Amino acid sequence: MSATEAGSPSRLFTVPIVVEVGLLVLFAFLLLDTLDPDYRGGWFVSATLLLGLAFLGLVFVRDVTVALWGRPAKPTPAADTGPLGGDDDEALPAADWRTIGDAAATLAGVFACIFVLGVVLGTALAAWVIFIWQSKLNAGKALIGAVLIGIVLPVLFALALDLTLWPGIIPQLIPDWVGGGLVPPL
Amino acid sequence: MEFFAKLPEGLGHLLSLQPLLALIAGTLLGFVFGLIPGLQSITALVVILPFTFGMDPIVAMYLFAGVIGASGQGGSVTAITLGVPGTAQNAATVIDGFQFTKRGEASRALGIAAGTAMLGATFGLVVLLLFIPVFLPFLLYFGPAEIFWIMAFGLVSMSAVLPGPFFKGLFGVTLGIVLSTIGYGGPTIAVARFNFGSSYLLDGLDLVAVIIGLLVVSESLVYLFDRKRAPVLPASERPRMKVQWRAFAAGLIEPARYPGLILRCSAIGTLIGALPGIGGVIAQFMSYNAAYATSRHKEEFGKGSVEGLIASQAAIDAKEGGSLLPTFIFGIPGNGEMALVLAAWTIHGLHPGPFFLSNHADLAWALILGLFVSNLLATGLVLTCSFVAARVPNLRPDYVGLSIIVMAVIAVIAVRSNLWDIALVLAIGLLGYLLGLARISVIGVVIGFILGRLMEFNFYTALQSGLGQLSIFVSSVISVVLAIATAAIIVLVIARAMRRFWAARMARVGLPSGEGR
Repeated sequence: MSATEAGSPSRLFTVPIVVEVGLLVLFAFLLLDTLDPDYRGGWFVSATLLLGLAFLGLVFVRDVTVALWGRPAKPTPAADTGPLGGDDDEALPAADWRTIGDAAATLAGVFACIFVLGVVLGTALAAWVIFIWQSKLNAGKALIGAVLIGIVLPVLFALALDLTLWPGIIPQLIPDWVGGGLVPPL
Repeated sequence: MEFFAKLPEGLGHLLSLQPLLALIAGTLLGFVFGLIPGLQSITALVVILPFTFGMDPIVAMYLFAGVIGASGQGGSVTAITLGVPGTAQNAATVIDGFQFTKRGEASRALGIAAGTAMLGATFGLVVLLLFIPVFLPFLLYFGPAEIFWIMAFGLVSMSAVLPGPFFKGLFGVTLGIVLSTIGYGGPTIAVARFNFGSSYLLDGLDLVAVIIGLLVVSESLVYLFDRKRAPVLPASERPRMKVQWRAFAAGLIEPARYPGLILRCSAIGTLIGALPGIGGVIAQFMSYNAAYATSRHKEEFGKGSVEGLIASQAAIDAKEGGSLLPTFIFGIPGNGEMALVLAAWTIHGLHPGPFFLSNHADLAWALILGLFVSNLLATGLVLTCSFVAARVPNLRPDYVGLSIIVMAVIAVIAVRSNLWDIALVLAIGLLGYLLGLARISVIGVVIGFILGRLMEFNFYTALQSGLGQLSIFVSSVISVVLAIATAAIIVLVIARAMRRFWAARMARVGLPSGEGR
């Protein structure tokens, strides 16, 4: 590694470190909530949060140290990664933020489709879009896959289990299947 | 003993029509899911979970046992005939198993794998039955403080052996516990915690949604977005195979020539299975390495070694017996499959924990007998269905991933029919995916979540019984022993890491480290 690379802040932008920061903030926020004088939820939760912060803090310090000043990963069991190091955690993965964005967008899209159109139509539409966008299938093949996974699969299970699938918030098109759903309180 | 007195009743259930049909159906499903690369036994459990809600719990347990018992054998068929692990835990089977197929001895290898699986599963279940009477008398002395400590011990020891740094494992566990505290709870009068004004969160996070989200949806995202990890073998590279009955039969009895190896590797599988959170992959490779270390024919390993194949297969099937031990005795799930079994119990209103065996011995026997018979049936399936293994479809990873997400959605709808459970399972799935990228083990989060509420309940109950004095947690011999053991694990793991750190530092500056003296 060159001298300019070592210690560069851009090396901190790895998936593990960003996830750890997010979790540290979340735990600190929840801990503050439990330290409120009006909090009556018991100190078992506070103690657990405090322990979690301590464990994650140690991991975070180690990962930051390795990211800034560590040597490039090598598959030796005794690599110098600090006293908290593990056997198979030497190489921190390069941040693939696009993949993470794709995954988050996919799940959000699937839920949005289900919310609006219901499970049957929504999963079919989501599957069709994913097959075209992610799998690069042509529209016809994507439609076949979407019908199989998004319509046939849920309908078969719903009939077999006598389930009422969420029909979506659009006006009712097919009673009990598509449209006319009342959103439960959140 | 009351538990063993229930054996005839368990056998009676096994021979009744509904449980037997459930077992056969579960075995077929588990075998097929094991056979198809990309599908796992836990995926099969998610598929059947909604069906079990309306079932008699005994019948549901036979269905679960069928899936759990047969998937390993299904996976080994694909591993041997195609060189692709049908399930993740069959990875080591490929190393030697596929070499047999390459030299035209697939039937022999399938026979060896099936014979070993039977012996391994039997060993695991026998060990389970031997250890239950050892533990049961102690359970009478388990009060809330002891239960709290056994859970703390289980979670810490699991963190010590999970892949990745120890403190990441511990953090995963605490994350699971924190997630379990969302909703009503507390020391005396239940109050709302971390619900941020949401009425949906008042009841807490749904157990099934959390387990399926973390273990299944997160994995489906890997299939959708990380194609390199999806196991696929082009049809053109598939070897043609024809089952040779004599070779299969000869292979079936071949493991009997290696009793020491079978015992050693089954013991490793059972032990690893009994440690919460440790999967079959670790059991298989530890067993394989142990076999290599003690073999007189090391040069054959990786080139179609009988010992290598036996070692990998014995561990997979022996681990199920081991994983039942913490599940039955303490309500601590041994692996992801057992986490779903516990979820099914909870949905049926049953309470896992130290008194489960006394109160529901019939369910325990259903799982034990079901696992044993399922392995027998799966051996028959290996014999009769292996010729179709070469024609197993290569499912597209994106089809697999999306189908799993749809199945997960249906499973959570079947529990409570709540729209927001769909959002929860997907959000938890994304969390699991991110945790996986950050190398934080999701199985630790799952087990922390399952045990979190029980730990908190027992913590406050113990405190109340001790009139608020923390000394209640070290007031019995069992508590003291468990507390010391928990602390010892933490100290030992840190000491080992420190020693390796300093050894590496010394090596860098060219000084002797003192290691190995």
